[in-house]
Amino acid sequence: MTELFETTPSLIHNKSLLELGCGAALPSIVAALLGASHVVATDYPDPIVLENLQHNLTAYRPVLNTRNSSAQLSGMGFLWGESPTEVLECLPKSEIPGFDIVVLADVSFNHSEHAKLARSVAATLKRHKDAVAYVYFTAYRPWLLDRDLALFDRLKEVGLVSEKVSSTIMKNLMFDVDLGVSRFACEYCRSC
Amino acid sequence: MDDQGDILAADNLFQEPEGFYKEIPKGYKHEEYTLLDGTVLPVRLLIKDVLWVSSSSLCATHPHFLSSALLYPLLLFYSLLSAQAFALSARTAIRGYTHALPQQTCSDASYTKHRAEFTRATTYGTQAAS
Repeated sequence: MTELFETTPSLIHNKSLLELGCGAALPSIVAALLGASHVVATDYPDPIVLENLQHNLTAYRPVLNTRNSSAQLSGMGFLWGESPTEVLECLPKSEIPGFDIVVLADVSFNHSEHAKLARSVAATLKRHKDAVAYVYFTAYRPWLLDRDLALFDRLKEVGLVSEKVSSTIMKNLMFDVDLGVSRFACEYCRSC
Repeated sequence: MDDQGDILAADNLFQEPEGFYKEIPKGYKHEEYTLLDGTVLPVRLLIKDVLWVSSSSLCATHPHFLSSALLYPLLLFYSLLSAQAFALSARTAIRGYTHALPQQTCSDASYTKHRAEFTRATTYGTQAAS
């Protein structure tokens, strides 16, 4: 996700950006460093999650100053499907409310929340031809890839159409430990 | 945060037809991301273990569990007693999330087929329908 912003900085220059399910908020931080105007990183409203989010954002605000960036970088809790009023209040008043860019990085694995997530995208993305939501994902459970992709059906239901931008193979496996093809045996029921 | 971490709020359960996830923060991990211009960006990741609980195995053994209000505390109890029984945990270096290892739920052939898909990163652009 961040590589896309780096290689095509015009995508985010002077744009407002909302990240949903941000985790460590790396895409938000990079967007702010590369010239986005207003960046709001959001994640599940749990104190542990938000404390880590604020830790990262606080570390980078001084860096923004040294790079002469005027980006407004903030973070908050946001439950998908709930009212986005507080999130939208982070933006300056505009004729067309909403963010120029909404980032969904590695959130499609959460199948049960797709409908709420789609509603949140529709409610926060600016109704403008240039506004884009970027959905980046890796298949956490490849055998459920079809259900990951069902997110795009939910987005279509709220009036959003999606087009593949890129698909790349990463250099390394995602796991610190890969046990190969050794099989898992359930010690409890011995039937799964 | 100690090694046991704190359990996230009870409503942070990701319900799936075949089971559900329970997230348990395990601590922090410091990672660095390097921009194309060489700038190094350190970030702190919240590392979580995800307990994956299979409905099928749970139902087969204890059919009354799924309709019981005691499900979650009992789940935690069982998980603490024998994490291998219900938990598939593997930490990733990306975004602090934890994923079930494919070989633990797939046949060997299916695992081989799917393994490559774990390394594929895909981006879609989504816009308002014209």
